[in-house]
Amino acid sequence: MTSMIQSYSQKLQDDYRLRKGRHCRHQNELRTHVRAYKPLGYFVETNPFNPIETLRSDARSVRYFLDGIKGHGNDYSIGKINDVGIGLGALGIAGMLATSKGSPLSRGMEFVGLACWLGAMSLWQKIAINTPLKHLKGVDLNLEYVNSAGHRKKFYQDSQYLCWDLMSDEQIYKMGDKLGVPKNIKNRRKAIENKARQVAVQGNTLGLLTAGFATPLIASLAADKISKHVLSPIVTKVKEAKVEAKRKEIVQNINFYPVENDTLKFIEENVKETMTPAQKSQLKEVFAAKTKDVYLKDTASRVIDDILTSNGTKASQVVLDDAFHTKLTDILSANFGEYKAAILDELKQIAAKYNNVVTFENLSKYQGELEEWITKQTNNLFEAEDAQKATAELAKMLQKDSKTVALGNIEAVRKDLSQMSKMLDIYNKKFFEDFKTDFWKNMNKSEGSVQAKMWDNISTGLLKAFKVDNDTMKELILGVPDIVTPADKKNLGMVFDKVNIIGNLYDSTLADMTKFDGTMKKLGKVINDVVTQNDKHYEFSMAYLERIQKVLSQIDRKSTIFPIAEKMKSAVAEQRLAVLNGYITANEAAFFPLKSLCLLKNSKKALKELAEVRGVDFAKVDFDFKKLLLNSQSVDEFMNKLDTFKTIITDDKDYKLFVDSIFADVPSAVKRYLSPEMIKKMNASSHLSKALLSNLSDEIHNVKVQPQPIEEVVNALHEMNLYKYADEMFDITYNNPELISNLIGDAVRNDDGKMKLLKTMIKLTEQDVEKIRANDFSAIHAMLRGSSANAGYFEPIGGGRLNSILSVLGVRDLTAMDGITIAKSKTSKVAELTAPKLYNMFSRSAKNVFNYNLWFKRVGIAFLALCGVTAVAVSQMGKKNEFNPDVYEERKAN
Amino acid sequence: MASVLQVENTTTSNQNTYTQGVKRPPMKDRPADFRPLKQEHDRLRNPGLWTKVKIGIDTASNTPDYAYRGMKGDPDFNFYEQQKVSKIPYYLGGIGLAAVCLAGRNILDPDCVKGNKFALKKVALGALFYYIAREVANAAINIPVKLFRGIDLNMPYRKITALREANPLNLPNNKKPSNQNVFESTEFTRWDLLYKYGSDKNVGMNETFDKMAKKFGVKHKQNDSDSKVIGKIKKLIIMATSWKYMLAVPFVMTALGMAQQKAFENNDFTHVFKSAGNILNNFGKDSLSKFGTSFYKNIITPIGKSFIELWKGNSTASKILGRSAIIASVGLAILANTMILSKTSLKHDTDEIDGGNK
Repeated sequence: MTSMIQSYSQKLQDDYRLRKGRHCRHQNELRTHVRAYKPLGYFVETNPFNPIETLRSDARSVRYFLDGIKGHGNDYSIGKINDVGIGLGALGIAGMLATSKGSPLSRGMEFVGLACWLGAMSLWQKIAINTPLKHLKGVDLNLEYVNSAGHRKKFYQDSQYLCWDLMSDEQIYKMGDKLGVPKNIKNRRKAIENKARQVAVQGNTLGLLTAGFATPLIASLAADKISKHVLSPIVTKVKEAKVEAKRKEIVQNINFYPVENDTLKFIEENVKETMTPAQKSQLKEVFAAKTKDVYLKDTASRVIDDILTSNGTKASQVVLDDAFHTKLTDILSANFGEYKAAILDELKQIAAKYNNVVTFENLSKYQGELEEWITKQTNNLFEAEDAQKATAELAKMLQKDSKTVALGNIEAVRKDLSQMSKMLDIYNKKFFEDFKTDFWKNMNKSEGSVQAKMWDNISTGLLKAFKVDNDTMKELILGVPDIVTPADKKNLGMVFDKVNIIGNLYDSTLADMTKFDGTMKKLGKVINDVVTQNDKHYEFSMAYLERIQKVLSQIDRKSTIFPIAEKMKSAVAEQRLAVLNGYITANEAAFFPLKSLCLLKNSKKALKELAEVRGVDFAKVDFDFKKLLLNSQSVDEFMNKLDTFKTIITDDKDYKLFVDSIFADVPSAVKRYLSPEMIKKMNASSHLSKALLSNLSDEIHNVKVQPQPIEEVVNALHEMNLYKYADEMFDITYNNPELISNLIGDAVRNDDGKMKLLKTMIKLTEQDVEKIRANDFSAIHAMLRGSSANAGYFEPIGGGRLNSILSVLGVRDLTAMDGITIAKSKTSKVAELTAPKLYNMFSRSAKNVFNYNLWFKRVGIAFLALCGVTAVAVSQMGKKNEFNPDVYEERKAN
Repeated sequence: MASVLQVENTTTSNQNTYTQGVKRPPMKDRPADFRPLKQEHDRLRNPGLWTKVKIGIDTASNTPDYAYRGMKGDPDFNFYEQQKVSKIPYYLGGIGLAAVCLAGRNILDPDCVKGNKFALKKVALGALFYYIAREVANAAINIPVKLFRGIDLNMPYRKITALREANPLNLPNNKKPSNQNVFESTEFTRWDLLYKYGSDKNVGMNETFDKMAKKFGVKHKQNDSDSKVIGKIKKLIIMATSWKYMLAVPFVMTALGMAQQKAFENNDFTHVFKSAGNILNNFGKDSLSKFGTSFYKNIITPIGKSFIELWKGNSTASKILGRSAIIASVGLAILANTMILSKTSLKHDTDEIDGGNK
């Protein structure tokens, strides 16, 4: 021990002497034969962009950690662990956040954000501060060295322990020249070292002070750009590929009868002459596992009950004999026996209504009636406590699942069950999994889906085509609340002002022909993109769903499994409506701006041409034309009314001529969608045109048409929906009584407030309600076919009655969108954008673009300001100040 | 243990005499230049909570000064000060993230404001939870170490740094005090401050180390308890610091996972502040109980709920990740403490000399 201490103190002394100079060192060597260790430190080349170096240092840090938890290490190695800890922590956070996100785009963005954050953290100082410092002052803060102990460190990390001996005079003087240290001074090397230290301290501190601002700014800007230009297109591409692959797969495996033997086998083995409650519930479980759509689960269970009971079983009946009644009476009069006989009498009277036997059909009704009677007579004939007990006992006695069932016709039961199993297989595989889950989800919902991209195209394309600038966007979205009802006069006026803005946009486009051509071209491109995508998927989806519906329709109306087949069919029908709705809204939104623009520009010219051909006085025709235009409810109506505009359009040839000249400017690629035949089908709203025209054209006022009251314009906005496929939609809903009956049936059974509305709407009598409760939809069918007293309530779709009924029932009201009330959708941006109204289109698109631009501007300005401040600070570094007075002593010439 | 270490008295004995035997006038009568300078030394500070709070406030209020001197390039700017300045971006980063989120708010668009409020709450909560989780991860090591080994890893001491003569700060005696940690470094641990001098023949010199040795499991009184314990403490510092950095990972994951849950979507933090402000206005049982209910409803309940939600998860992936983060936090904390305590135990101590640094 003593020797150790001695040698150690000796070494300290030696080291001290060694520092004193060569002479001393020489003497030392002579005296003690002890040599100082040669310094082994050296500089290392660094490249901040080299990932291998980072990985290597991370690997070292992991090793340091493994050593550290065993207790081996030093300050240097422990410090290194923190770096890898931060990286791992960030990765963990990104993973954690990603799992809470729904769409692959936002999931991926968490990791992009993480990478950007870490990258910004490490690169900001290196690029924004160290690089200019190196070039301006010659001080390289990125410089790293390895010390004698093998620790890799930053050279300027600790300004009070700088290993200047690693630097040659040449390097130091080169630095000194850049730092502006005078040449002719005493001890210039020391002076340069001091100046370099000052710059290093300043640079490091600036790095720390700016990093807190720079990291979030750079990370968010970079992540945003990556999301927009890299990740989002990739996600969309993947989704498109998935949709395409699924489409192909579905087309190839068109066989609609997948054979699944397990259930059939199960039915063969387990459906026996008598079935215990356990067997019954097992059977139900098998089918419940098969029924993947939650929507069908209740029905499936009910249908199985029906199948088991409908084939002549007897055990399922509950005989309401004396024993039954005595038992109930005993319970009811346990505490208060005065009216025992009266109670028994009453009970028997109720039972007599059911001929003393209840089957599954009227079991619940009987139970309901009895319970109602009990509640009515509580505290009157018996005590509340007893009434409660009796109700519980009654439920137990009538419990259908607790009874063993003896099957009447076992073959029939097996056949029904097998058929139901097959139908479920088709539904599950072909519709629920293949179409609804795999195909439609990628197609329709979530960020980055095919339709989301389409809507993005439409909204940005619209703003670009009309060259809407930032101020206009701001005006468009300023001050209008989310929901505007026609009664809200103040806000309606505001909406009217916004429509004026759109009118001005149209005006300026029409005034400048080059601008007009550009707009047309851009709108044409949008249409082409949208329609090509849309058509392909739409035709496939509709044909496919129709096919499934056909297969499901093969079930006979009299069959026991008809209710579930019906329910499946209505699910498919709803899906068809959804497909159709998506298709129509996207197409209309794409076409609408172009069509209204053409109409505004060319209608007068077209009229003039036609007038010349006909040899009619133009002024008169023009007046009539404008009157027609202003009296039309929609462009659809207007175009149809043109047929009746006999003054000038006498036959189809004229009509074609007229339409052709209206759409003369349309780019050729889009023109095929705008043939007269298509036009007759597909139309834009003249209400908006009316609103626009009243702004655009002075002549309109000369015609002395009363200025449109605000309500009418708003109505116009309301009805800007286009009825292109109204017929088809009508077919799907109206010719699908099962869909409607089922929905009404559900409402009646649940009795959840929809009932009251329905009752007043379609005037359902109590008898009808009873019938519906018992799954008898004849009343509704009759109504739908118009052969009942209530027939008048189902007018053609234009009347809107069926629509309102459907909307009460929860089916989306497809043909009458709720005006400018902005649908508050929880699902996605897509649904929000599906309101095909020009005002909505403009304001919605403007909102998206404007909000994004606003964010980008703010963050961008903050970032630029930070860069400016940093640049100024860097340029001021190394200047004389109170801490560094820069007093140099001139070297005297020899 | 807090009682193990006591404040060292640093009174200087040569105050009143220049040379022996000559009577000098009392201090106040002497000219200013002849007053002896009060010599200050590095000394331990009271390890109590209040001292730590004071130190925290002191450091925070000094940080702008450090930053200023750093920006001027003061040659006396040292590594300790640089480390304190580096706390600025650590906290500013979280605030900056929330600010970037806030930058997306368009007050003209009510929908946007609503969505932005929602997003901002999540981001701000995430940042706050991050900082809390880091502290909790540290506490998960510090508290057991203090309980079972009697060592306060955050034990503060007052360090007096000599500045260069030409420093324009003009501090008395050109010395600058700061508060640092005794056990911050494993190589430059301030053992010297733990010895107790002053009594006759330095009998109780090892008193602190004796108490530590007892905590470390040494059964009999040792003459050289310091040399017994020092190696182990070095080891403890290394292990504790290594584990702290790694423990932060699962803790931070758990915290961020909790911050994302639905439990925080409907609570109202501002209500808590409002009811707290109400206490100041009209102090009484009513306002206090209102604050209590609000605090419980808007802070305690959502935290508990979010923990359960994280455990349950809303998808398979989130369930797996959430559960593994929670389990890892608890499991690693237990493993870390077990390893630290078992490796630093002196219960079965032979006379082996244990150097921490290998």
